[in-house]
This record gives sequence, structure tokens and C-alpha cells, in this order.
Amino acid sequence: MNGPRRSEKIDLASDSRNLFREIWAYRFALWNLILKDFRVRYRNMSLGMIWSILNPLVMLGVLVIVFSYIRLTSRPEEHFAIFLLLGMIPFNFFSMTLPPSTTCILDNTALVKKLIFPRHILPLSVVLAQIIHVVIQLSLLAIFLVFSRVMPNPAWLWLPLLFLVELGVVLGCALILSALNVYYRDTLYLVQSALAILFWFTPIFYPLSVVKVSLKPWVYRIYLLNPLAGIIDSFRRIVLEGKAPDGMSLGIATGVAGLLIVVGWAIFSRKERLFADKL
Amino acid sequence: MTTNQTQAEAPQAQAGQPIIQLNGVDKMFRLNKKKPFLVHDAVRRLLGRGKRGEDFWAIRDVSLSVWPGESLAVVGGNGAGKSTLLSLIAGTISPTRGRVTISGRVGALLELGAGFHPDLTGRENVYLNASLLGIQRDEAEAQFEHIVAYSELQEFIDVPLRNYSSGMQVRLGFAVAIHIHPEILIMDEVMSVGDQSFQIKCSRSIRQFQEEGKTILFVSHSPGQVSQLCRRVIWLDHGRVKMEGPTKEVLAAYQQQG
Repeated sequence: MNGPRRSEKIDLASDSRNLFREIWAYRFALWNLILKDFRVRYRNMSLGMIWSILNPLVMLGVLVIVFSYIRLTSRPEEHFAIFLLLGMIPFNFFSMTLPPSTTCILDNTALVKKLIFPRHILPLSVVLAQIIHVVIQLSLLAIFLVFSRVMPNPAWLWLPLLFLVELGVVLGCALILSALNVYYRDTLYLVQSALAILFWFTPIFYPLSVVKVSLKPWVYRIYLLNPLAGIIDSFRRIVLEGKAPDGMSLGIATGVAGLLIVVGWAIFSRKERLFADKL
Repeated sequence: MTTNQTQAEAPQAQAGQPIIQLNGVDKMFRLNKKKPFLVHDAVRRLLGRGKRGEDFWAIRDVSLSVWPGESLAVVGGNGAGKSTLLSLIAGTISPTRGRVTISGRVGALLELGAGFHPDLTGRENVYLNASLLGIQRDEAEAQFEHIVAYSELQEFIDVPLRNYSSGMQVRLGFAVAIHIHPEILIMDEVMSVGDQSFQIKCSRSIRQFQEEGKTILFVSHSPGQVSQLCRRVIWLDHGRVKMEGPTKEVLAAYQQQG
């Protein structure tokens, strides 16, 4: 916490470099915040961690069973359970992380008002803490893959990029929404409504190819602005067909993810100094 | 007394660069009557009723220098801006106008055990609190035994904080705070809590801090404590520096009016 603190406008590029260094210096705090999240959530439950495994399991199980009988697409998908999981997992990470990250600054009012630390670690800790749920769901997917004898293929080399794009989308949204919620306390309700709408505008129960043939090209491009569409479609092409992602859909998703990160980072960094005033 | 204090007035002006410097600092809060809502606000802006809230100037034109090794107390009535001033120096809030310059690691005790969580054990809270005060894992682990010993809470360290008395929580918070070895210690009325023996321990630690040449800035409502611990006092009134100088004079004037 050295150097001058000014009320003048800030230079975002050099400030960001300092900020990265500062966040790195607070990595132990970030770790402790993630641990706190787990401990507080699970300590008072008799079944503890099992709940967080059971919840997505029950939800996915019901969906897989129901939609294995009710086909929303004319062409029956091979490996329908896997098809569904590859849609649910990226969407779940997004939809389960956004509500708690929206309120994370408000939830930690005492910390923000009384302690000096880079506020970025608050939304960061929420996002990172949710990764455990992704891992649990991915292990469920792994079980399905083994039972259906879907083998790894060279296209899997694309997977790290997809995880990064997804993480970018989630983190970017988390930064924007957590900052916005300090100023407007109804942000959470908007987020919840938006997530309910987005659920149906994301190719979870249907393949992206169906969207492509049923929409006009320019409407399809607007549809692709939902970065989850490109991400989910890429996952399915890679795992189920062993093909590389579609250039346009993943390209747009990557662009949107990059934009969200840059905009989120800029907004959060500009506003964080005022958080303590507004709480 | 003027609000602009010159170097000559400071008791330790000879020590070179000030460790804390405020130049013409103003702090304004906007007091919202209602909590803002996004939809509501958007509609209001569309209707052209953008302006909302009242401006409240918590700090007005404060300039101040504190030299390394100095202990400075801030006195003043409720709402005079004492806590705001400490928050500005600690850096949790930014000045509306003017400039705050700090050159040293700040240990801000705006609240003891800030962020302690009732469901976490004493041990877990020590690590969380210490890390948020800016120390790394190895340092925290090295200090842990000392922190526990200082707080005298060995038997309770793995019990959730929910089961601690308020005095025990304060002891733990203070123990963490003095073991992070800041160069500047900022305390907002933290010494008025805890029982007699804790306060004595507190005062002893603070004196040791002073002997180590650290800088201390604190708000206190106890004249005894102020005159015991520091030679210079500033008196805030409605956000302005009403008087500043040697402890005896300022305290006398303050108590006469109060």
C-alpha cells in the first residue's frame, strides 16, 4: 500500500500492472477467502460436501431421464446423456457463479469498509470456489464417457482453450455485476431473470446446428453473441464428433469473452475505490 | 490555529520526509435518502430527474503531516470526521479533492478482527484476518503461535468464533493486528474495548511499538490515554481542523469546550 493515493483520473494500463502485482501479493488472502466460502457453506450441514454433489446429480439425472424419452430434436442424438451434460456443465458454471458473485462485495461489507486489499479478489474467490462444482460435474461426465465408450481424441487439445474462454466469460460478468450491485441493489433480480431467459437461448436441449438452419444468417450471428453457444457447440464437436470447433461460433465466443474481461476489469478497477463509500 | 500546518510546528520535523501527508483533503459523501435501484434509476434518468441525494462534507480542507516515529491522536465530538480521516489515511476510501500520500506499510485497525466470521474457528479466522491485512502464508504460519500466545486463547483456538465472548474476539483481533508488523498503526477507538487486564496489555504493546520507532495514529475518547501516549493532538470539528498542537494545550481547549 505504498505511494500516493490520488483523487485524479487514473491511467488504467499502468494501474493494471500494479494491480496484478498487488493481487499476486494477496494470493494467500484469496486462498483463505475460497476456504472460508467452503467452510461456511458446508460446516453446518450434516451431509456436508455430499449436498453439492447431490444437487447437480439429481438435476442432471432428471433431465437425462426425461429427455432420453422426450426428444426435442427430430434427429435423435447419439449419446444423448453426454450431449446434455456437455450443454449443462458450461451453463451451470455460469448460472451458479453469477448470483453469488453479484452480491460478493455487499456480502463482505465489513471487509471492504475496514480493510485495505485489492477488491478484485472478492469476485475472483467466488468464481474460483465454484470450480469445484465444475470438477464434480466433469467427473460425472467422465463416468458417462467411460460407459458409452467415448474415447479421447486429438481434438481434445482444444479443451484448455475452451475452459479459458468460459472462465473469461464468467469472470468478466462477475466483475461487472459485483461492481454494479454496489450501486444498484436490484442487480441480483435482473441477473436471475436474465439467467432464466438465457437458459432457453443457449443450446442445451438442442444442438446449435438446429439453430443455424432455422434462423436467418444475421439473426444466427446475434444468437452467437451468447458466448455459451459457441463454447457448448465446441465441446460437443470435440467430444462427440472428434472435430475441431466451428471457427465462427468459437471466434465470436472468444471475442465476447475477451471483451467481457477487459470491460469488467476496467469497470471494477475504476469503481473499486468508491465501494467503501457506497456500502 | 490554521488548518495548514507548517513543518516548524511539528515536534519531529527534523526527521526528514513525512510518512503521512495530506494536502487540502476534502471528502464528500452523497447521502441517498433511498437505496438506489437500477430500474428505478433508469426511469428517473429518462424523465430527467437525475439528481439525487444530498452532499455531506465529512472532511473539509484538511492538511496534515505526520513524521516517522510520531504518535498522533485525533479528538473531536461524534460526527466530527475522525473515523473518515482515519479511513482516508488507511486508504479504504479515497479523497474527493486533494491528495493523501503514505510511505510505509499501513496496519489499519479501523475495527478489531474485521471480517471475523462466526462460523469459522479462531485458527481459521486468524489466518483469514492476517492474510487480508496483507501478509503471506509463511509469515502467517511463523506468527501464528505468537498470536495465539498473546491472545491467551490456546484452549479455544479450534472452537468456532460464535462461542467466543466479545472480549475474547477483541483479544484475538488485537493479537493478529500487532503481529503483522506495520510501520504505521491506525487505530479507531480500538483501545476502549476489552477488560482492564487487556487494556493494560494493549497499552504496553503500543508503547513497545513507539519504542520501535513506528508511527501511530489513533482516535480515542479517553483523555488519559491520549496524554499518556502522544505529544501531538489534532482536534476535528465538523470536518475541519479546529486546533492542532501539543497534547496539553489541545486537550485543555477541547475539554473546556466539550
